[in-house]
Amino acid sequence: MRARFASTLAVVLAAVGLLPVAARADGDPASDVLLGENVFYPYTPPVSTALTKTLNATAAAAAKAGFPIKVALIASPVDLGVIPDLFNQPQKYADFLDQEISFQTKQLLLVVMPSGFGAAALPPAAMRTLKTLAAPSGKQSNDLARAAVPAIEKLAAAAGRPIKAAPGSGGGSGSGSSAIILIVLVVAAVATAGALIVSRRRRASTPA
Amino acid sequence: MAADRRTRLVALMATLTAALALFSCHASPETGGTSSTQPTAVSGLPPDLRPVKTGRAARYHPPALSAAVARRAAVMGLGCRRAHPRAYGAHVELYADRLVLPVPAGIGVAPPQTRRGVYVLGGPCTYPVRTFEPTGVVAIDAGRAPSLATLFALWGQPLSATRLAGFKGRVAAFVGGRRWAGPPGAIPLSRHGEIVLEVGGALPPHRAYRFPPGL
Repeated sequence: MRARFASTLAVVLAAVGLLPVAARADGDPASDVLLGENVFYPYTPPVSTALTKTLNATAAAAAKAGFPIKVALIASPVDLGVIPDLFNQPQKYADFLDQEISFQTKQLLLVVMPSGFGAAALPPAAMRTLKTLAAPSGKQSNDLARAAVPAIEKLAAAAGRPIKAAPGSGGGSGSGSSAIILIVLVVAAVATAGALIVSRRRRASTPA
Repeated sequence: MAADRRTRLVALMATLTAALALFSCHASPETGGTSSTQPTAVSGLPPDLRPVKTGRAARYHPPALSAAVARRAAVMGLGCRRAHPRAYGAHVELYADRLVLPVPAGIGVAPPQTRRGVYVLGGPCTYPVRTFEPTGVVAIDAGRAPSLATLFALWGQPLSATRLAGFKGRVAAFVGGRRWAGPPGAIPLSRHGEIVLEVGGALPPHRAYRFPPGL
């Protein structure tokens, strides 16, 4: 009797084991895009070209500094595909997205939503810094991008990987002074050439 | 006595089978799906919602550009066009061995493709069924009634009841979360349709997708 019960139970367990695991899957756009990009941008409204350039450059600079972080900007539920319920729950979405894009090693991840930030795989000091960051100043895509840039810089610094000024970041002083130097050099070259021409003509016109 | 031994043997075999089945459900043949990285529940989500990793082997990433599209040949009666009417979107999710098989950007876009990172912005001409992003969102010209077979034909990948791109096995198909009983290729690419194909393991499918504005 006991043996028959045990065998029946074992057969039932075998049947249960063969049933599919109740698990849904994928369907959020950022998980697809971040496999090949450093930043996932919201569908609408689009982030401005200048901010896109700045954020891309900051993420690239962070990677160069040894802090290869991926960033997901989520401005509306549309950016979440099949899991719109996670909108404005940045940490929960970071926990979810992390599992989709981390493979052999954990992938540093920052999620930015209108309500604030979430992150995954950051070192403890960076996670502490994350908690001190103020939420984006607005709800639009540009606001999220604007908030992401200093957030990356602060998190990288907290992790002991400070970022050097990213090229093209906000069209800042670096690129401005290079242009001025170039202009000065061109003017100097033209002035020198002009002076040489004038000097030669004067010599040519002076009687021997 | 002999009957008792037989019964005990049956019980032992069944228990071992159960253990093996449970183990195999949680392992994966592909890198990125090992038991040590099995997705776990995220609080606040329905208990049956789990993240799933993307397969990393080459057969999970067939190229978007097919030979037919590269030479701008007609595919299932569809030609490559410079102008299109208003388009709508459908969403296609593919899974093989319980890992994501991404639908790439650039299906149905003739080369040279204009790209911005993983996005394909366009080409000299495009087909009435095309993808511009690697998210599974498919753009379809309004007024047409293409099927999933059209997408795979443009992609240059096989699709049948027993073949899903580079994977062989029984293909389970779902539309709006419901099982599709017919050939997978016959699934219509309807507006805002949510289509899921699986081979090599079952995952309860999504029923709906939030589409970007304009699609």
